[in-house]
Amino acid sequence: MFRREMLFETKTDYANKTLEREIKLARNIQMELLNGSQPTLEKGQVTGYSLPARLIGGDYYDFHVLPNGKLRIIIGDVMGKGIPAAMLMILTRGAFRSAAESTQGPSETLTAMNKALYSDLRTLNSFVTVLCADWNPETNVLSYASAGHNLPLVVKSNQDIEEVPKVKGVMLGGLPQNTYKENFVQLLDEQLVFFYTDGITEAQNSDGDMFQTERLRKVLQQNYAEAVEDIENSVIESLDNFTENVQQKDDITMVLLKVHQGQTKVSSYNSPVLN
Amino acid sequence: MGEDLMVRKSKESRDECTLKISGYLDYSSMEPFIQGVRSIEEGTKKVTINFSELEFIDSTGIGAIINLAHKANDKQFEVELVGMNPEVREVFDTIGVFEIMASLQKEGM
Repeated sequence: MFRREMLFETKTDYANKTLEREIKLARNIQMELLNGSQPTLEKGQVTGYSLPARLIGGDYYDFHVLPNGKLRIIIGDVMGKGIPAAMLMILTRGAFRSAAESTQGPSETLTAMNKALYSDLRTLNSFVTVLCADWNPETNVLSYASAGHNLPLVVKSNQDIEEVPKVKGVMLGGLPQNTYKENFVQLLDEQLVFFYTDGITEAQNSDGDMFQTERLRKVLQQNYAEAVEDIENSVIESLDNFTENVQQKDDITMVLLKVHQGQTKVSSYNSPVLN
Repeated sequence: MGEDLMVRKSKESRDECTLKISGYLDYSSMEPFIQGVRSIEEGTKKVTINFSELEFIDSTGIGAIINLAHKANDKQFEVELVGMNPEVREVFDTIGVFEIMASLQKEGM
């Protein structure tokens, strides 16, 4: 009996250790894919950050440099948490990378992604909210479309912050033949665009209070003049101070784009500047 | 942060019922809602979801409402959402829940 129990314990320990190791490997894969190389902009800055609430998560952001010199940005949030959400996040990433190559603008990208993902998401009773935006470095116009995702904020000065003009659309996996509307905003010199998931505004402290949009707006305004990496760090620091390191329920993800007037060009990740 | 969910079912008539949701409808507290949906009897014509005591809903909770709408489409019953505060209404509107429900209802007609 004792030997059988020992054997059982050993087998359970082995299974747990294997599972733990595989989850850690999955986390490494996800973090590598998420927080990988970011495009370098001439006279502009972009950065992204994602922190899963658990070992792995369902938030997603990505960049794609288009042949015409535009920068395509996507940020998204898969329904649910942990491993199941992470699996769907990888599926979403594949759909974006494939759609980004062959579509003209954000609305077309979302339509193609929805077409590619609808059947799987419906089968799994799941959905993904994403916001896709194209930034044209020549004109400083940001065009965007939303599949159920909250709109980005534009920080115009340390006094002036607002959401981009409204556009809405159904989440990916919601309706099979859905098409998406597009809107745009003209950006000016030194303006900052802040894309985010609701894990930021819904981050909770030990009393159950949420960080809320107002605190986010305040920290963005206060640090508006800094470089994007510093603004990103200020948001993370502000969240840490607010939550006092309470374990969060939701993943936290943000993308920051700061533009400069003049002849701005997008450099590809590893290749020379595109003309 | 151990937020709870309570789902109370009341029957208005032979073919109508209400599920009243109190507390947090999120990833960690879905079971009472799943049980509540399972308890909807065959032949029910209308299910009202009352959100007046809802404190928080996340994407998993919203997914459960969408799945109920699909179930309603399959089983031919109507779903009505009532008692939503403006924040919850805005989240549902942004995500596209109302559009999906309207589309399913149109499809089922």
